[in-house]
Amino acid sequence: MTPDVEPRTRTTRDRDLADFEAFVAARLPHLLKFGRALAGDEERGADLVQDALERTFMRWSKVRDGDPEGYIRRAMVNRSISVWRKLHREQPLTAVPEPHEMDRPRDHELLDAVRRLPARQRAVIALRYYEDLTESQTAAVLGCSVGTAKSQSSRAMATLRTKLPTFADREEMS
Amino acid sequence: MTRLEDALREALDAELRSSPTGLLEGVRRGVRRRRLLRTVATAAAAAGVVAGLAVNGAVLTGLDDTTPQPATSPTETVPTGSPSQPAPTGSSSQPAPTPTGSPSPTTEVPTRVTAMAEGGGLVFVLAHETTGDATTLWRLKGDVWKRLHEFPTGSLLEWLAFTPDGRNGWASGLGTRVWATHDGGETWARPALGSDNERGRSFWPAATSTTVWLVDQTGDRLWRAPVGSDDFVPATAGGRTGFFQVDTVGDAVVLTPEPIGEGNVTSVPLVSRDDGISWTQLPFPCHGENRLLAADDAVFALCPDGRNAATVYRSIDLARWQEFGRSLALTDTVPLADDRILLRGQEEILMTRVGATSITTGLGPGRSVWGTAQIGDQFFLGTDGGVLVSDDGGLTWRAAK
Repeated sequence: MTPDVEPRTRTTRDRDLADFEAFVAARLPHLLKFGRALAGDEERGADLVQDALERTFMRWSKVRDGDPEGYIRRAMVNRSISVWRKLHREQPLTAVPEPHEMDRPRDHELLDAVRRLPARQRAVIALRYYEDLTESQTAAVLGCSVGTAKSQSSRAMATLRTKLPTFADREEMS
Repeated sequence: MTRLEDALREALDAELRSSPTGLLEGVRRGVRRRRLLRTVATAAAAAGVVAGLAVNGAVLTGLDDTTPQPATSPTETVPTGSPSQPAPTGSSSQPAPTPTGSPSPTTEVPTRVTAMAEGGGLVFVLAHETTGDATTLWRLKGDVWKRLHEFPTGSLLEWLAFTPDGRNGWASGLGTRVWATHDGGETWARPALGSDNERGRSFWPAATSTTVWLVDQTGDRLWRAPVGSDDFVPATAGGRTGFFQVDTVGDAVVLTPEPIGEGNVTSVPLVSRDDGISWTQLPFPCHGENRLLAADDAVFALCPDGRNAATVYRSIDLARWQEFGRSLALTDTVPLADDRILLRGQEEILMTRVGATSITTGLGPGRSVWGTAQIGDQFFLGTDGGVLVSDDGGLTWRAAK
């Protein structure tokens, strides 16, 4: 078995911890919003974030010099989809906690529709429109082909347009 | 850029309702918990005896980086109860004894069920009893619940499978190891899977009367072992790996591949009726994010038609599908037996060959069903709101006390 963490001195550990905490402090709001987008609500999103951060800290010495946020993002996406599988869901979520009050009613309506997408499509939406990843980057995070990422995105957007007639005109440009 | 894309970006970036403060402390606690579990389990395997308080104290005083040692035994046995208790030497032949005064018959019932299985006329349930991250195994015999086993803290187990005789069982969870029992759930040990049975994996178990199968959802691996042993070996299905689901239907095993491509058309389940020697295909009856739902001697699949309705298909011969019924497209599809399936969402519907009947289980809309069982004429639902039982084929339900 390969140990997750090499033996290190207390000084190194302290530095690691401080480094990790600084990273988390800087990125936590962003990660929590990403978790909300993936999970469908803030509480479940926070669970995803905490689980991913715990795993990341256990490997911090190996992850820190690479792309720690990418590592966390992938861990969150994988877990969100695995949890969906476990829940035996053939259909999008409907039985979820009530959405909270938001400043803009349109956000409320839109997030409610996103929440009802299948987990994989929700992940594509979160990666494309919250993380602003390209289609190929999205495919890499999901571990699928670019074509699959495109089709999932296309299906998700079509569903959202169906549920939200306000946005039905796909050609309308901002 | 369309208006929808703009709106999505704005909505997904909307301010959070809650403050993130406090989550970092939660992460610290989680790291300590994970290290404690790893350190204790590893020390038990390497040294045979854990100086519980000393190790525990060292870990709990800070974010310690104690280096885990390699496991030395083919199967590590971890005792029931707290991981801070002394553990016996790892052994595949000497399972850990249940500590005196530990799990015992009780008037309590499991409340937050994460998995359910049946075997030997008994119902087995995994439950997260507290807000912590420990899992308890319960057993229902007749009308009596018994708290049978406490898995170590940090083992959030969510899959459970037993052989038909109820003697051999396997439990696992997302990112946890797989555990095995050969004495009806009294004691559990971690079978060796090469170096794979470490945290971070997610194993899905299923068992026939002769063979247990494990799908490693994170590692593109398939394992199998004869029932009664922990001699797992890597397996394939006609040379294929990359499955994310395994089900047993009678003595047949059905493997569902990881879907690739639009419409899930590449995820064609494979069926073996001869213990994995030969495999046949059972293509889904429709495109979509399908999942097989197994119950007794049948599998079900649900095909939404895009207009808030769905067709339920059933396969008994595992070679072709037949329409079983039509319904509203609801959130949860819960097969109760090979002749009935429960559909839950905004409504609850029991579908049989006779037709669909609107029912009420009493579960709130926010509750999920995590497992089912059938003992004689009684049906059981394991939910995150407790266990429900039906004496009339699923038409009415009551809390199992």
